[in-house]
Amino acid sequence: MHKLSRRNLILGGSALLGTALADARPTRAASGAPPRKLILMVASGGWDPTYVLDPKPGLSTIDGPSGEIRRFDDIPVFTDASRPAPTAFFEAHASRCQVINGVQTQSIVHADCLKRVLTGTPSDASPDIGAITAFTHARELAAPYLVLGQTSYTGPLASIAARAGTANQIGGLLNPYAGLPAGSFEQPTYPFMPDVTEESLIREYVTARTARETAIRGQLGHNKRRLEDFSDSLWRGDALKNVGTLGELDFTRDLMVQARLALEGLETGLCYAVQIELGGWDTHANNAAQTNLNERLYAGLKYLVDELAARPGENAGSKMIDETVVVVLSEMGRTPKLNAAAGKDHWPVTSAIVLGSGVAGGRVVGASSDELGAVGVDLETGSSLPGGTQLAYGNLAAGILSLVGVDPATFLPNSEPLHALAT
Amino acid sequence: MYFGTSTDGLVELGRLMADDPRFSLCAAKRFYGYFHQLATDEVPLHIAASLQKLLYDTGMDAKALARAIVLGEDFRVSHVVTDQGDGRMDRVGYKKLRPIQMGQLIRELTGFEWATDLTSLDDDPNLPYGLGAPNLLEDSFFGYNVLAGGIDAIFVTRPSHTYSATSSLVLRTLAGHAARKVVDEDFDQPAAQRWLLHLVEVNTDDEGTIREQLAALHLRLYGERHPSEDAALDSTWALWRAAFAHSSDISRAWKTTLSAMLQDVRIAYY
Repeated sequence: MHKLSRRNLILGGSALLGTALADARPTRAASGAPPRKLILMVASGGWDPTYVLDPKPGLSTIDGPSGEIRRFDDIPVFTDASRPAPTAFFEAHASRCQVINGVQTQSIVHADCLKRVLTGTPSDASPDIGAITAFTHARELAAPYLVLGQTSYTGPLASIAARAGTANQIGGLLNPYAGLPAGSFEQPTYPFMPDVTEESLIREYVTARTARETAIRGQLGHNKRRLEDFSDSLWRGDALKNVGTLGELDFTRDLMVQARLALEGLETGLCYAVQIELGGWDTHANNAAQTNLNERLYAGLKYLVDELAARPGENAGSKMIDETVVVVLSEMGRTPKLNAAAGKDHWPVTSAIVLGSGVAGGRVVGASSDELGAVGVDLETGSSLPGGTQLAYGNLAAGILSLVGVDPATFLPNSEPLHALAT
Repeated sequence: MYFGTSTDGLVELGRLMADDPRFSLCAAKRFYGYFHQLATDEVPLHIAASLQKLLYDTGMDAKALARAIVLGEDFRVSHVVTDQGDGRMDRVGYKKLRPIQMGQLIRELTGFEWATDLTSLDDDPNLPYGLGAPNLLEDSFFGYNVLAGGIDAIFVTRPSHTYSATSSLVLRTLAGHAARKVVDEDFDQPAAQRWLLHLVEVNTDDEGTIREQLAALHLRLYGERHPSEDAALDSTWALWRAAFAHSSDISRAWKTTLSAMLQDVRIAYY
């Protein structure tokens, strides 16, 4: 497979003369698992797990939707005719999925919960698990961590991330005629658009000047790192231009479009980790809106996993799903009872789905109580341990890192991984 | 109340804060961290302590604190050639233009302001009302602030102080806008009223005059003083000459040259 990397661009006759790759890609990580690609699907706003993943019917302590529990493999899923998409997804892919219930987020603030569940730490200076995965395994790619949604944390690994932006600003950068004009819509102005030859002249000049600066004062430490990042950013920006369909990621941020771009990015070797997102889950009023949100989420998820299972992987005879882990999560859950506006407010216990390569699928790990409290869990087996240690966001993040072949002790030294994720 | 101590008005509250060593140490770290683009926990404690003392000695004068930082040896490290053996070059050095600085720099140099007038969208029911005319390097929702390394304080809460694919694309696009504006406008103005191209006209193509103009651009854009015949200008002259040979259009050759010069590493970092 052709990968969009610095090495390819140099060998391809590009004028982008760079230094040798700084780091070789490891063949097997310290966690014991092979390197695996990662897709993060974020349901931002806080989903209500009782709609699908954590059924709680017939309890006076919890207001939930109507439906019935169906088992797919060993996963009890709350189903209803009004929510066909989750049913269709689990009918097709339950054996690949592990559902994790009773994840303690230790916060009920969106921004705080998001950074916790995505980074495994309470610090927004920490990179999230997508950034860590991409940095560890594939920092030589053009856009190692492709962020098509809104919420991601890159911390010190920012140089390897490529963000689409809240309103798909990247589309405007790749094609200035498609973005917001400078000036006004009535009298727009656009940047000077060099042709191919002029573009090459510009690049040759910038590259030579950067090399000169590097020779003079970029041989050491901080300056060296910054100049390398600048050089890398040139060819990385070029590589993004080759992903023509990025412009289709319009302001609506359709999950299907994001899923398609994620597949394209991974398949072409543009990126190694992708973040995609469906927002709107913050149902303080009319919690029943979670029905439609689940429909959209599981329709997108089924498309994504169907395609991963159908498209060839990098290794002979393999499929993409054999080399990829998909994580579906939301930063928080919702209160057990409805409020006066028929909505539900923030709750510090959530659920997640982890599926794909190396995942011990077809089962549920962790649990919540009849009051939606997080029940203790055995991190080795995933069995519930009432009264034991709760499953915290850091355990989940560390477990995912281990699953994708990253030694979690390097990035999350204080969190024991949820070992039960892996086969 | 300040940590359990009752106060009588803002003046007394301010005095309590000034007397609190935690506040002054935190202020010293934050100022140093901001100017050097470091997280507060990356600021060496001995430096924070010396800046804290300066704060005390100057009566909590924030301007004196800022002045001490930007005039300090650490701030010069980005332009030091040889290692001083004190580990300083590993900790500090080049500073990346923040998105707002990027916009200010280009506006000062070329007059170009990357703003878009959205008032015509006020009737669109799918968009918030009153979007105004945001500066796209300051705006983090419609604009490029986050993609250029800034924050939106919701989804992105820490700035990025290095270059990525998207921050590179922002700088390139901004350079293209500014180059177009300067060339289109300068040749319509008397030389004294121009932004950058004071020494050439739209029909000037002799090497001597072009090199004089390039020397002036190196001084204005990069702070590099070179005689026009200096070899340090050869690559820029070669760029102009090749661009002109390609297009046979002097205006276009200048747009190509300025696009390159405005996305140079000496613009990207300081």
